[in-house]
Amino acid sequence: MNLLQPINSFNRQWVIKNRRLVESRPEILDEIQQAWRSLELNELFKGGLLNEFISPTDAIHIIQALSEADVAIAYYLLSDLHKLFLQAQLSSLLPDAAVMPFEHFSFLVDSTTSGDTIMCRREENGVRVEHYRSGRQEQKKYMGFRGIPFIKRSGVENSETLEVISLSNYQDYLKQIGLLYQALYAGLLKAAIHYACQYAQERHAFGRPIIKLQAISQKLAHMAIVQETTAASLFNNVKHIETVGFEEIIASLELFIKDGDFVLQEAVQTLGGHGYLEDHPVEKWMRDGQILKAILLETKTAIQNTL
Amino acid sequence: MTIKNDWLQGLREEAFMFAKGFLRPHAHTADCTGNIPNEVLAHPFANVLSKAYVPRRYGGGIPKLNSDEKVECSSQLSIALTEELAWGDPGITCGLPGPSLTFPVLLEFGNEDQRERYFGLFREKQNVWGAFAITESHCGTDATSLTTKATAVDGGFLLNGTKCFVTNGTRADYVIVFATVDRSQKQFGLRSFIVDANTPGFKIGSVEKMMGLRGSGICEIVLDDCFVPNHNLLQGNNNKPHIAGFLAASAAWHFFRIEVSAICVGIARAIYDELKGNCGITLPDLARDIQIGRSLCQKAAALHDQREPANYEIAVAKAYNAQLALSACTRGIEILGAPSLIENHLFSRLFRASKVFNILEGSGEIQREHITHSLVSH
Repeated sequence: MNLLQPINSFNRQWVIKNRRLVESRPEILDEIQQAWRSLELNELFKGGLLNEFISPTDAIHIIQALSEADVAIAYYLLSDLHKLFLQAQLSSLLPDAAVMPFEHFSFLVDSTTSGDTIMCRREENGVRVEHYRSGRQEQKKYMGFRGIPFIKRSGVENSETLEVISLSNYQDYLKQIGLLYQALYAGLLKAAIHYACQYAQERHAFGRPIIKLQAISQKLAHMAIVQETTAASLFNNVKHIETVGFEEIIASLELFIKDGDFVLQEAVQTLGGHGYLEDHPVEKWMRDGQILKAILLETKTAIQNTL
Repeated sequence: MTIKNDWLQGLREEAFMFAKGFLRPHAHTADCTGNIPNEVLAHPFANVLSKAYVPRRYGGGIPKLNSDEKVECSSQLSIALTEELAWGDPGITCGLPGPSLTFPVLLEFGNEDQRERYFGLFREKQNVWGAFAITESHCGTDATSLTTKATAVDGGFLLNGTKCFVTNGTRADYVIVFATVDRSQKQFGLRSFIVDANTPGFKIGSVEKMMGLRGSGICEIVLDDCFVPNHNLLQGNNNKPHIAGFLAASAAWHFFRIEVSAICVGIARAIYDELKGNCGITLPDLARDIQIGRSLCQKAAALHDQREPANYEIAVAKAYNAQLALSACTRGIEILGAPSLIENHLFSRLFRASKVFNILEGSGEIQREHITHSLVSH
């Protein structure tokens, strides 16, 4: 996976360095985004996960690796991918705008200066893709993903239909979006375990590293099992992306929703009081994990609504 | 011994009205600023609470409803109060004025002069805070490893070291500080001192930036050649001065672990009530779990009040209730979805706060160690 080399260097240089700073100084996101775009990795996602540039497994590895450094920044940067994934299903060109993958999606990232929105709306004869030029906008602050500019769009003024796409095309798009979010969560879980393990080896209590205490080592093992099983479920689906059914995608989303919390909350627990402080990223990941879980839940509901 | 239900019910209702009318509405402000709003501190019930833990003979106790008579505070009364207050806001509950963890230590290990001086503060002034400083950056429950040094000098001790996670440290009038006279003696080298906050060499370090519970004024305390006179050393009944420090720490933890369990029940109940009252969603299994959690607390508190060994019951109550609070919050968020993730939403605030109760005063893992240990030694 030589593609991970630029990602790893980018993670160290920009993401890991700034992941906490973004919460108080969101303006540095622009700098990070420019650096990310200069890697030109977005090009590899033209046409979605099924294209001639990169295998789906490698694509998911890239997303996972980016999220491993920081899930909030990864979510922000990958808002570009929404457009690329949606473009794969559309014949018309899309202007630079934020994409709302389905109606009632709550976590729309404002990555554009125009403030325009592309929204997918389910109808009887397919899915209407609409372009909103304006409408009421409201900045939202969540307990996780702090610093990421979330906006709430409401109002239907100046909307224009770009295209009506078939339900099956829309389902393909949702399937890929579902995998994208799972990859973000998989990276988050991996990062949390890695951080907790490292801390458990360094921190001493009762005269030995705490990883030698049975209660801690058993828990870390359990966390690792959860992380491996969720990742296995994700990559099984990615490997068979062309034939995988919606039931499998939904089952995989449910696995992340059910078990992910455990890993993130126990990572904080492993660090004890230090985990609760802003000095370490695990408390941030625990908060971010709640947002991402809600995104997975909304994606699952959206997929179920098309069936 | 059990407390009569009518008396307890009256007290619960009064505490609930205070929590509903003052703690809940000011919770967001406390979360943002880290301070307890003046409206809360000025309320007469806050004054009652600050004296509740002080023994009656030093001017404390809980006034009976519609009567001048006062009742001595017990663990059973205390958990009833704490559950109601935590329903309003766990952060402010931890930050309200009162002797807090210093109460059992002063009571058990202070001499008459020390008790009169420090419990007397609550009689004389309004809004007095006591704080308890044992944890250091490298050791929490493993108190035998602490490095804050107490050096004997003429007329007292010089304290040097840094304490962290001191609840109400930012606003404390006095702090009970644990230090070692000789680290190689482990628990036998541990001593506890009462340190006035205005003592030279006593400084407030950084105020901890935490995920939640921000109203509780948790901070670092730096002791730099801080002189403490001999009469502020807590020695217990003098029969076993070499172990008094360690026993004092254990007494405080036993007392406060039951309190923490009650806070967790209050958090879970806040989630349940919000879902039921404002969203029309009833969760019978959560109601069942809350009742279980409350029973575990009451069992531990009753044993504690009777001065019976309660290690096992306290550990079970804390381990169970800490998980209960967090899982109730997680569930509430799953049900309400995105709106409950907004920064100032009740569920978001309770979720952030609830995690800490599985960490402080002995983490969940330590409680499980205690449970196994008790099972083996029974």
